[in-house]
Amino acid sequence: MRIVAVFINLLFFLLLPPFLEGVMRKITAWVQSRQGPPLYQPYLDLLKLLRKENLVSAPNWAFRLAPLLAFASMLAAVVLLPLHGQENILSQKADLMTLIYLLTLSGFSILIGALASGNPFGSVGASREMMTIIMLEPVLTMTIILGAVRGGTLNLSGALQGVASSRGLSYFLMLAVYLLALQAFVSRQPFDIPEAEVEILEGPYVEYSGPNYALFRYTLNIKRMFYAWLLVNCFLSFLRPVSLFLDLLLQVVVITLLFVLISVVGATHPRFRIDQAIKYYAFLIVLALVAVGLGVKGL
Amino acid sequence: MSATSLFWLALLILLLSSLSALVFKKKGALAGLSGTVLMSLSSLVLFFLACRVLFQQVHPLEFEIHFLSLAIPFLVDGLSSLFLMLLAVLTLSSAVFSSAFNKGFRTVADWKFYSVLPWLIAGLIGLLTVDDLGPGFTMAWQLMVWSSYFLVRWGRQAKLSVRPALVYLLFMEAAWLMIVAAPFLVKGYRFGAPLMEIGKNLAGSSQVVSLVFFVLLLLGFGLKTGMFPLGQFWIPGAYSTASPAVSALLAGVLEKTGVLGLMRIFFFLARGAQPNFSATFWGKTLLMAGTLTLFIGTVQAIKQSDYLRLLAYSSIGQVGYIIFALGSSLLAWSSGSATSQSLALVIFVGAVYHSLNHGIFKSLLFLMGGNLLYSTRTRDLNRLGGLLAIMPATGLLVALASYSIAGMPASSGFVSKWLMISGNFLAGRNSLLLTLCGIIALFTAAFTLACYVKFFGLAFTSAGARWKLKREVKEVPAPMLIAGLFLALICLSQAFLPMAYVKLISRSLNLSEGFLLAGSSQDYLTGSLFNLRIFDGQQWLAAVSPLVILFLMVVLLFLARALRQSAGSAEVQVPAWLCGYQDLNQENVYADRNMFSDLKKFFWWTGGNSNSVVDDEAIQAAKVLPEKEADS
Repeated sequence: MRIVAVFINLLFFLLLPPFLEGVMRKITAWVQSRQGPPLYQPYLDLLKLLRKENLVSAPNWAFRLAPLLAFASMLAAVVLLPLHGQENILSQKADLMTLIYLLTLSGFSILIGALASGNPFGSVGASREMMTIIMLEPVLTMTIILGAVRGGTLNLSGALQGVASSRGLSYFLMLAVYLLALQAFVSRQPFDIPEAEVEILEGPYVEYSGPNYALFRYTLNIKRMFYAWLLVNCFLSFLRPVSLFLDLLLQVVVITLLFVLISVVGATHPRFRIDQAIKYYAFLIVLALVAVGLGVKGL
Repeated sequence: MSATSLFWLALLILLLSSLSALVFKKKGALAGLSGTVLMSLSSLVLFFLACRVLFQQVHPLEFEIHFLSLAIPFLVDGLSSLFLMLLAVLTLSSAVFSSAFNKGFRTVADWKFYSVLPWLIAGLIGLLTVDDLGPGFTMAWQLMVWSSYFLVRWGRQAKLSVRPALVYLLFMEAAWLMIVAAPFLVKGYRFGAPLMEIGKNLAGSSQVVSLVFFVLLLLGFGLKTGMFPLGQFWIPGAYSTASPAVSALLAGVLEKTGVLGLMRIFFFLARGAQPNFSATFWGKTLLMAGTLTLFIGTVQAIKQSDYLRLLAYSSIGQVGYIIFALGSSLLAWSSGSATSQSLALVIFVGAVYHSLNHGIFKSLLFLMGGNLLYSTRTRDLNRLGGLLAIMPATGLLVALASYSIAGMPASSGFVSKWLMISGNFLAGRNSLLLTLCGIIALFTAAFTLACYVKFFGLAFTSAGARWKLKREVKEVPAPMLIAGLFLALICLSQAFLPMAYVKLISRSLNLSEGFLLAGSSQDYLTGSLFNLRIFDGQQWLAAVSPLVILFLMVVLLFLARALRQSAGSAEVQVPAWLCGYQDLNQENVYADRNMFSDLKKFFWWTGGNSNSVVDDEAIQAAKVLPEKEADS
């Protein structure tokens, strides 16, 4: 079972994310009084991208490696996740520090790819992406650290369950912070500043096309689902059903609902400038620090 | 041959090396050759000595030399052997590196360089082995300070190097004064007494005296390591002025002698001074000082466009991690519970591990910075870009070192940061201060990453050098790459064989007498070839497995590659697309000063904002200093 769990994780995070993108596009279309593409459209997009020419603007290994590394490290992060509150064979070898750093590695690969392309739009995007990582990663980190402090362990299943182990002041404050940060975690409006299509032409991805771009798109989708997954498995872990199947089903339902929320917020909010966003993130960091402080004090 | 005679042999070879450079004054090439060979030889002897002490001795090596009427105590225990090993490795790589570097990039006559460098190494050997705060310490310190003063002074032309060298000298002398003066306050102090004796004397002194004593030593050794705000005064200037091979030694070992000093004071001497030493208070002080240092140093590093200054600021940040770990170890130990005391040991092992790691990868970065300087003659990131195609080997080595220093998974930096930070979190369950400092340490890693993304990204990838540099850029000569490769291999071993290094460090701690944490149980940290784990009874609390993660990443990379090629898409080369109106050129390429500009603005209060880069060539050409570019 501990080995099978790895593959269940892998399938879960490979199959579902494009569907969630479909949900986002559908909802966004409804808000804008359009009909929108069918829910399975993102799967077709990926397949189509894989068949297109692979354009290379800078023939160096960094440019070619970046999409692979982004995709691989994102998958490496998600296969470590505990399934149904149980560690799998890989998550016994790693703890939450590995998880956090793997997520950072995935973001970092996008930056290196963007810089390697040599395109100034890509570099602007990379600069913004790095600033976002710097300011947002602490919020993610502190959510899990709260669990680690509560649970007294850094192993993933223990730490994730620790967050909701007792639902006091720190729990609700951290939940609020996480919800406020969610839109930025999934980099949708008003926080899609690194990509900002109409402004800097998708920023980091400007030179990527075809299969390379498909990998980046896929990575982004998986990343988005991961953040919704984390919310469910950290803050709602006390609601977990006994059966694995029901657990997964419930996760899918809640994650889909979260994506509906994300799409509605995204479709109705104009983009922030990066300096405004930095201030907003700094505010979240302070709140999250307070939440961890309360957690240490046992509140 | 006995260990003591090996010690003297190493020093003798260094003396010979210095003398031979003076003999070959007229023949620069010969001075370089004999210096390189003799220094390499002495580093081998030194390495052998360290191994001998670590693996064959049951007790630390102690001996005295008599000088005039004074007896100078020497102590080579496990901990100093470890640092001697680091010194030996870095001496070797620096010697090999500079043999080629000095030929193509001469800032000073060879005989001068090679007659002084051995003295620096001798001074460092002295600082790592001398066991007093009096005559022996003074001799070693002055040897180290004056030789490195000249090396910094000769690193660039006079106009640019007089000031940083002088500042360096003044601060080092101030540090010396504080360290040597401190024990005179202690009742019954005998000039030249070993540290243990000072500790015992301290126990009999008053509270105030011991407070002043520890404050002075913290300031003295803190100055040396680069603790905030003391390091900011001299480190950026000195490290970016000296020749890269020298900077590699300065950042790799010289700084670590300060770390060793702090360890000796707060973890060895303090044991004797127990009733007058509050581990809680000093733990908190070191913890806060370290956290400030690591955060401020790293944020300041982001702001630099001069890549040598960037590396210098970042070493302040990295030393901050070590001080942070020393503080949290002390604080965890002082809480008294058996669990916390064992975690304190885990954190301390992490601090030593990080010292070794930082020694290796920061030296590697400085040497590779030297490669860049050698080929491009500029230290300005704004003028670089796209060098990966021209200098692939240097690029790969920089990528490895950057990856390691940023502490990404399955790198040497990751293992040591994991030891320090996870130990900190586990020990800090009920301590707000420990947890908050741990969080700051954890997310400062993202700043470190940003620094090195900037360094690697804007020098090697991106574009720009082909228009902005007036010279033809070539890959550097082989010895400079070999020196780098040597360090890179050690760096990889530190990443993938953590258990071997942890065992080595535990062994060295067992071989160091009078260690404060000696009573803590070592069972908490267990491991195999594949992973390290922190245990509490049956329950595991934290784990790291570099080889497993590497394996996982490789499998997934192949999966990604298979996916990319699944539809047989062909690769087509195209120029960069700028909306169809323009090609990529000098005017529109992205310059370093724009990178992270809003973040720099947001963190202006951390200081280090001035960002002017002055190249030696620019001065030679214009004969006047260009106006300072103020960067907003």
